[in-house]
Amino acid sequence: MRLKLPMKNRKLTAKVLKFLVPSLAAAGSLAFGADTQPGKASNPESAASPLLKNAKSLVSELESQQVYTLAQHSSHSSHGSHSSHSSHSSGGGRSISIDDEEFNELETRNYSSTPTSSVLPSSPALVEQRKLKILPGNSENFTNTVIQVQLALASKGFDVGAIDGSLHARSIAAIYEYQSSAGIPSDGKLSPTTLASLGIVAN
Amino acid sequence: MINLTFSADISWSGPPIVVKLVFGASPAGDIAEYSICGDTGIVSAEHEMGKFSFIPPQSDDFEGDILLLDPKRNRLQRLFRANSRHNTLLITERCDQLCVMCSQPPRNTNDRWRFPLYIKAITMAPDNATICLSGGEPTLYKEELLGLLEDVARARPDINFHILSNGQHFVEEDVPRLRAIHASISVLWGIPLYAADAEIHEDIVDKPMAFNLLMKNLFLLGAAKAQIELRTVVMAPNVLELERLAIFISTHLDFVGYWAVMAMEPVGYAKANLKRLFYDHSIAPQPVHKALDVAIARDIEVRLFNFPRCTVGEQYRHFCAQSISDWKRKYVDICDTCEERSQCSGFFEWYSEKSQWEQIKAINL
Repeated sequence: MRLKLPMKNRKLTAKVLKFLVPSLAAAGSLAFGADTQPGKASNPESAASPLLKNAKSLVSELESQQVYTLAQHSSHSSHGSHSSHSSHSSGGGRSISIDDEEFNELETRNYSSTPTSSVLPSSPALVEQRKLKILPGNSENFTNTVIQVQLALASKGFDVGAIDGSLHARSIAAIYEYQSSAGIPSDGKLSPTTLASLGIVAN
Repeated sequence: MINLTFSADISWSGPPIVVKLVFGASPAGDIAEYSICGDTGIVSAEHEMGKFSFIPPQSDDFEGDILLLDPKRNRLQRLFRANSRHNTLLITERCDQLCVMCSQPPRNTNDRWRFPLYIKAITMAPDNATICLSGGEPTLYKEELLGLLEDVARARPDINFHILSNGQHFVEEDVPRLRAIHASISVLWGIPLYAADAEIHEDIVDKPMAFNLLMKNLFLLGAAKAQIELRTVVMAPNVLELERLAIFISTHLDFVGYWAVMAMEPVGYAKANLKRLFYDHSIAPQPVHKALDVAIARDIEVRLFNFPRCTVGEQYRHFCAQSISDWKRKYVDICDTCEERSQCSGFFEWYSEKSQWEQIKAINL
């Protein structure tokens, strides 16, 4: 069972919950989480003021979630194309001794994000193994649409930054600004409403 | 940057051991007595196995440090710095996900040997210490990991764990055991979730079906009364999905205790893929602000990790946590005159011009 766009469809989500509930029941409890202690992360101070300020627009936005967007445009590469990385499941029943080979890791491992030793990024070979996939946002249609949007917004006086077909932060900021000035639900996306209001036909 | 592994001169041979440095103690058991030379900075220590000494890469306080010594290689690793809040044990470098922005790309190592040493080290840690267990993916050694938690729960129930796991490896049969662990020791599971959309999440973690498995396992952890912190790294591929993710979490995962919204650590794959992944939230903070609005409105404990305070709107600054570990944290020149520097996460050591946020500035009230 593959769960797509869970927020799109509450029925779908309901299905998932239905699927999950028996496992909870089997585990002996549905009343989890109620007694978790807020131990580690210190609580942010009261967040009331931004909340009140934004509550009204927030509520209206929650009511009008845009579901379909170009950002989730159908050009995903299929998962079949993922390179198959071995799943490194643990070493089975092999008996472990601390031999040179193993402890050597401590000494030779690169600097890393976690402090066991340190942090050098990965070796170049490893980085290259991780091939870039075509993500939504990289397809030609998408790029063309982004260029049209950048041109349209620039002509209306918005600062879109580089007009390069990539949805970079400066252009996203411009889309937000345009959306709020045009009274469109502002989500920073190339939503159908946004494109229509700019007179752009998406492919 | 604080270097945590370096060479040492160790007088005996044998397998790796764990020792604790205590000034003026008599060397016995796991305790080593030590002194620091005022002129050279050389730390000389005596253990019941023999003597060892090292030149620290930078001068520091070593009292109470717990060290992993490898006599064969004459190497030493500072497992715990007694004066730091940021003590992390690397359980393994293996991982079954291959996240597009992984700061520490996995390697196929054999790490089982670490567990007995780590258990010993943890039992010597200071009272009420919080210890992060990280990877790789720690639950690839689930049996050893749960054994470690059970051992520590018996010996040192005051210890707090923060375990960074992808949540892919739990099964229903683990629930009773996890419940017993959660009842006896404080464990916070930090689990990544990048989008409410399976395809986007799975494109980021590069593992088909990871999303569904994660959902099932989050509910299993919930049933095991786990404390859960969801962790979401903000990148170009998911930034516009943050608001939906906030709604998703608050609607369907409301048993989750915390939500950490994190700026990307520009090292490893993130550095290699920087151009495609980098999102400058200082230019367009709206998606982050809106996700916070939803989280606040729906009563999720949300925090911004690795976000310098000047890069988010003023009314959102109090969500910024000082999340970057001291040993890899730095500040830039602009920070010199900033009045909020002491409360700020600062920047990762590998933050560079390429990953620079445009709108960083000194905050002067």
